Amino acid sequence: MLLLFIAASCLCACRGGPATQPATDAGRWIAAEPISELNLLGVDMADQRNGFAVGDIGLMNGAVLRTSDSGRTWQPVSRTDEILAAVDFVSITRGWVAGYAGRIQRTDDGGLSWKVQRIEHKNEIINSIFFLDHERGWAVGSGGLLLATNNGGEYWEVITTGRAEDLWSVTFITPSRGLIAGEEGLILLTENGGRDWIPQASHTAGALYGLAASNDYALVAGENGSILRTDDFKTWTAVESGTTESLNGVSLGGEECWAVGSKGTTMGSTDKGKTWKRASAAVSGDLISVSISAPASAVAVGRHGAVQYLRSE
Amino acid sequence: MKHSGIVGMLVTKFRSAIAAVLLVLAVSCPLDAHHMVLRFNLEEMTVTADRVFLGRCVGVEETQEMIAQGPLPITRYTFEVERAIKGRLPRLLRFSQLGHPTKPASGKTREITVHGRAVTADTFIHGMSEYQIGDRALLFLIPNYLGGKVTYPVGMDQGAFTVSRMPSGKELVRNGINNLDLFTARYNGTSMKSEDARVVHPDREVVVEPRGLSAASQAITSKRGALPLEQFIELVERINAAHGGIGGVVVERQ
Repeated sequence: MLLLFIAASCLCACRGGPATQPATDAGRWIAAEPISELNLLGVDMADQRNGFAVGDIGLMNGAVLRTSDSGRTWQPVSRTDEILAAVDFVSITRGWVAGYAGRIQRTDDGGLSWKVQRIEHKNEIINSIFFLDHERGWAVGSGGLLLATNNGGEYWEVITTGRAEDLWSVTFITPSRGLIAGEEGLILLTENGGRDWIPQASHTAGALYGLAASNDYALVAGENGSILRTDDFKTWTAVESGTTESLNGVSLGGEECWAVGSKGTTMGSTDKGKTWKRASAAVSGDLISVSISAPASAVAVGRHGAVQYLRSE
Repeated sequence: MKHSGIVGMLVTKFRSAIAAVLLVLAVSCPLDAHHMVLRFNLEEMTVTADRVFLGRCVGVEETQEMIAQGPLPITRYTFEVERAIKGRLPRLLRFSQLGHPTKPASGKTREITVHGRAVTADTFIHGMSEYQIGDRALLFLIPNYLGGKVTYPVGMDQGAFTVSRMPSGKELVRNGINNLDLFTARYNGTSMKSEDARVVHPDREVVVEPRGLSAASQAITSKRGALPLEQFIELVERINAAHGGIGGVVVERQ
């Protein structure tokens, strides 16, 4: 079955398409051929050339795909027994995936083999996983689910958040400072390594799906095109995004930021998220996740196998 | 009437051999294998179901029943119907699904588990939804098949939505795949084609036909994850009406 899947998927492995679009300040998004009917729910670039995407293949199965050419082409590397929604790599060899059954798996060989580190848990949905380094990681999901590890995922502790909302994204800036974004405008901040999480005023009731942070600023993005930013990780201010479409993912690198969402919406910023400009859509389907790997180099993925990659001018 | 999933395909095409095939499916399906189950959007799900209701599970009985040519494991569920959305339903609705539900894992080394739950190889059907007493759910059931003896939610787990309540009191629904593709799955042809669509248009700029829908119900089509119960029901009622369906009715006797 796995061989059949790989063979079939290889036939669908995308090639850089001709659908070039007008450039923004930070580059030009190019549509890749859709990867079959896969819904791609997460992407993470380990470096400028190598990255991984995860999604679903059918009702109950998931897939991991790898690119070695900055998102132009993708090859399936693994199939799982659950839909995958979360992926994070700390190097081109070590990474984790998780999804709709609470299971977490790690690879140490670039996706060729996977070790189950946390078994399936019925009704647990993991939406996001983030590792600060090779040892310290967190995962969040439905109904306030928060998991943490300090030994590379060998053991995952369930952290009580006291929240019932779905948590959509987690990131850490330092070992002590981390953020979570979730439903109903939820933003949580920890300053003690995840032991305590303090709700922050977001002034929105909409879901916040995407989250990205660096040492000196952070962004969240969500329903109705909302984008909020902060410089001190405590005071969040809504900025004009230029769209009312739902934004599902956001990524930043230096001063460059990208947010992606429904109907191929792609918004870019080159001033740390203070102002945003629309990039002409390279794909028409919903984009779910985006990952910046280097200046003017990024990949976004979404429903029905939608993939677009950013190329510098 | 077509059924979703491999069980339905087998029923339609191989009625004479159904008992044997179902037995094989039920008792020898490898645990790491998965049925080929079609993805449904909400409109096709609503049209495919003959009963849609919100209710609470009040009874679970595992048993066997003579179906076609042999005994098959089935589970009889009883739901107290709180709200009928499609179909004439008794206050206490009883229906049966093939297979037996999973059990809490004991942690023993030789135990077979799926999604962290213990299963018995000869009575387990992967992807079949299951309910425990007290569970509140919104179910889309296909017409009974195999002599009217069994049913299951449209698309297996897809047509079974569990209800949860937020601290604010807002109620949410979510199916086994986190509501994935409810408004984006293309029509699979089980009950209808894309040209027959009235409300959900995955390939159009406006995904949901706004006529007759509140702004709040239109808005849920761009949400991810759990969806607000009231708006979800409004949307299902709108879809049902758009296809000439009569609103659900709770009757005292079936």
